[in-house]
Amino acid sequence: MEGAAGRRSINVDTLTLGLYLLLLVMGWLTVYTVSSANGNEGIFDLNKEHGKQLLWMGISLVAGFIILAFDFRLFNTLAYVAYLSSISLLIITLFVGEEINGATAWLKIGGQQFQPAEYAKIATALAIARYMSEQGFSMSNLNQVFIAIGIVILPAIIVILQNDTGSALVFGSFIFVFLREGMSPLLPLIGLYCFTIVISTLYLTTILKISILYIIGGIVLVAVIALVIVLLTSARKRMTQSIIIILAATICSVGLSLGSKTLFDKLAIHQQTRIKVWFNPKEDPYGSGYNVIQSKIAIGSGGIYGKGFRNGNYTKYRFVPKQETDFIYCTVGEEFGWIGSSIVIITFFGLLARLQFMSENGKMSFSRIYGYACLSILFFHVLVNVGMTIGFIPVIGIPLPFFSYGGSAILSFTVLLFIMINLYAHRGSVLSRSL
Amino acid sequence: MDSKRTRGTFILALMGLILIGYIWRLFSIQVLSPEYAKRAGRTVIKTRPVIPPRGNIYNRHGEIYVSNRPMFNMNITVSELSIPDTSLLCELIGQSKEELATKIQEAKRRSSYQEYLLARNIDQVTYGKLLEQLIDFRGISFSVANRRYYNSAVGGNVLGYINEVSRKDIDASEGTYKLGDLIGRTGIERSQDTILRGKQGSHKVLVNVTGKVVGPYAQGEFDEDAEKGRDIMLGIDTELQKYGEELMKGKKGSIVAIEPNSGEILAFISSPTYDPAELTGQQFSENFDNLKKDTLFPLFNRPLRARYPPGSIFKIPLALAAMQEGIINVNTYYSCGGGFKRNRGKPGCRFHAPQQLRSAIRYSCNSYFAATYYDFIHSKKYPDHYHGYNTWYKYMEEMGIGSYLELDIPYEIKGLLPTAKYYDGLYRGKWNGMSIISNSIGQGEILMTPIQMAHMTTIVANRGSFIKPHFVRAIRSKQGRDWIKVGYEQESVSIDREHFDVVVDAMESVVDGGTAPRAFISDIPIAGKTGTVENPHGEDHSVFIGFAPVDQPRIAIAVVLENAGGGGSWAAPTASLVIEKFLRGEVKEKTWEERRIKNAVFIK
Repeated sequence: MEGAAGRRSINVDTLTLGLYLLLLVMGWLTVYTVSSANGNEGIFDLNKEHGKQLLWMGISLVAGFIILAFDFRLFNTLAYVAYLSSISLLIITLFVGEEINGATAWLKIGGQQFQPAEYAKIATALAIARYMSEQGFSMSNLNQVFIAIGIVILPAIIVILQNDTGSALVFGSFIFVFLREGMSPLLPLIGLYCFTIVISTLYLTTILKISILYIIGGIVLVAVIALVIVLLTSARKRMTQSIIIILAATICSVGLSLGSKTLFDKLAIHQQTRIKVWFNPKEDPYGSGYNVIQSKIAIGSGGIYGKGFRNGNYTKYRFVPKQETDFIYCTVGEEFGWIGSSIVIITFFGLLARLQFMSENGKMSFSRIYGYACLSILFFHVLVNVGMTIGFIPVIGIPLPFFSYGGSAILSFTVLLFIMINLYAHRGSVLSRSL
Repeated sequence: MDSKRTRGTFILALMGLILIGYIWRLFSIQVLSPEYAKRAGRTVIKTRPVIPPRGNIYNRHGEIYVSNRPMFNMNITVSELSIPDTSLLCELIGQSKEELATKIQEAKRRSSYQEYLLARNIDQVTYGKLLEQLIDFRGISFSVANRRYYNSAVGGNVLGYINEVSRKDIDASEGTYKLGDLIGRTGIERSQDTILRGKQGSHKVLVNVTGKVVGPYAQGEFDEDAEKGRDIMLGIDTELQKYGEELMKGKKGSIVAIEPNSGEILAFISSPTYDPAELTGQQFSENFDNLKKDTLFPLFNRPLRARYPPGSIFKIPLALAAMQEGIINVNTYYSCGGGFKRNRGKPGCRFHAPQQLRSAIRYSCNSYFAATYYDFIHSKKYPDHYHGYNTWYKYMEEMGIGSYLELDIPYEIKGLLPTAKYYDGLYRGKWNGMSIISNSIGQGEILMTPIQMAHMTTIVANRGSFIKPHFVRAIRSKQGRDWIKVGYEQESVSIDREHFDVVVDAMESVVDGGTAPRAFISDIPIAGKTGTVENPHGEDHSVFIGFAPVDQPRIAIAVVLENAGGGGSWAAPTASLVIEKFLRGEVKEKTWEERRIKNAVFIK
């Protein structure tokens, strides 16, 4: 009954579709402005990026609507098949893949390049959704949790072996899925704390050139103050526990701090430079800092209102490297200014919020988990890509969804999203697990 | 279940917060930091200078004298370069294959995407050939630069030369000159530089990351148009200038001809001279060095900067001043006796009968003028010889002797007219008319430049009035159509016309049977005065001043021929040829004299 209803009336979420189309159009206009810098290319010129992008947008839309026509149960059924096939593809790529920019992450099929990692993201989202929505799965069962984590880690490891760190990091975004499903936030928080200690140590010692001894002294000072406060305020019962925690934290912090500094000193010079450049691009303005400096100039020169459509001279004439792919957001910043850049971010957030809403408001766990995976992946891309162009995050080459030029990226984001639209269209249904 | 929903909301809120952080960061980059926009502008928009064509120079007949010809520089862009036939290219631009290869290497090293100068100063003919034959070549482009072109290749020392401004010029000019501007270094090019130069414009263009120009910025809205340099018309008669230069071949010296009623300089010959075209384009440095090293100093502007004792032509201003002061009059007699007797026969003279002023000028009697000079300085009119000397001094100064004529080309010198104080120093305060008696015949300490001699002649020709000598006649209006005459002040000396009439009368007789019969032309009455300047280093200098026609003078002239001997035998006939050429347009009467002078060589 539900199946029949789903097929006849298309219960598609128009808001998601609208936001998707809006991002797609904004993205294409941005690619167009970059690739039509000479001013005499036709819109459908397939020799140009904007023409190819238009073709891929068409293909993506067709693929999207085909996905909408699928029976929603199919995704659950095929989840593991998809996952296993993606793992196989990743492994195959490892051996026969094309090397581009140092990463062996591409397969060439009939003259068309294809990045299996894109497919693996979707497949992993499906697999994790299926595994975690199985009856009997519980976040308190450690074995099951490890298997779930394994499902995510496995493709990430292969992608790292392909030397495509950027794509591998995307799998880290599944942490949000686990958190939503009940994982204790303690572990991520401890991780965040350690990360902060390491980063602060490196920043203070390499950029501000403060001696490591002062940093350790600082940590000890904070610990002493904390101890004094605990001794003065805590009830006797909890005092011992608090003191132990403080002492443990202090020892860990000092160890981390010393350890990270020692490790940093052992790194090769170019690796050290890379980290320093993240802190301060001016450390190497013509080398690895160049992208970030140019990118900030391009965005910064946009002002409040921007220079206007196709007037972004700085990006149009390619002062920013990888202009139409990883650094496409610079063009938005330059041509549409702060208003335009903010609108793009707000639109992305709108899509994320809608995905979160859709995830929470279906009856299926599968749909919810998949929805969170989908929104985590999208968020991570926006976070890293935009963060990189404004100098918040080190340069990591991952695309901005729906904006960056590239057929396989735009297709995979569309598929990722449309599976969720399909699932939400059947939000009233409950997946029966009987074979 | 509900707690998990809250977790979901919390996760979304966290994402929202991070994105708000991004929006804030964007605000700080885009709105709060204007330096990014400035840096982007500097990188993308390049300002290209537009050098306007320099103003043309015209001769007195309104014909083009100096203009501009385009010269082409050939540039290569390595990234687009395709040379199907290397030997053809090498042949056309006159470079060896090795040279070409080295240059391409160098261009590659700089930037494969930017233009690199391969060959400079290619003339129009070669440029045409290149365009025709290099049709299959890629990555070759040309840029145009204007070079001076001399329609009459004469008067190098009048025109001067130009070259590109140096860093020093730019810094010193406080913004007037910009990189790529041309600047006049000497002559008219220098003195009229502000007019000829025009104003450099600028085009703002967009460049891409490789430095390649991709188009105009903002449709040229912020471009500044270049202002074309304005044309200048000189008083120079290029035909006469050319003729004078031909006569002076093989000789050191000067000819200066002035139109008396306007003060316009008709000819200004400095010999030996050079072809002004040598100091343009490719060979500039090489030629300039050679000219500088030349032992005959062709770059030395003799009419302006060579100083000579004037010799006997100096008797003319002395006679005028003495008459004005009433020391002598037209009828005053002095005896000759082959020398100035009151000073034990010095200066010496040929043996003349006692004579009056006219005859003394006609035969250039030294004794007569020595006596006049002595009587001037020691006249009872003045309390002492200082006053006498200073009175005389004032008249000489009025006629431009020992002073700047404020000519409109630079590097003028003022010669020497000694002051009384100068003689106090020279004679330790004990001097009188006898000590300085040589001044009377222009052989003392006095030194004059040829332009000063010509100017003095102009004053006599005009019977006392004058306009200071100058080159620039008119300047083209800003619109570029009409000539605007340059106004010059009419001045006069404080000597009465009647005294000039006497002197002019006598000067006419100099040519007609006096010391300069060789200057005689049958139907052009010429007034003149010869001078034979004693030269301790060699043969005497031959000097002549004169003007014609006597009653309505159209040309006043001074000729100095170094080491040529007597004024009457060389300078006088040379002057007469120039006069005839100017007044008749050709020399037909004394072609034999023309041959004689052209063939004479006084440079050893």
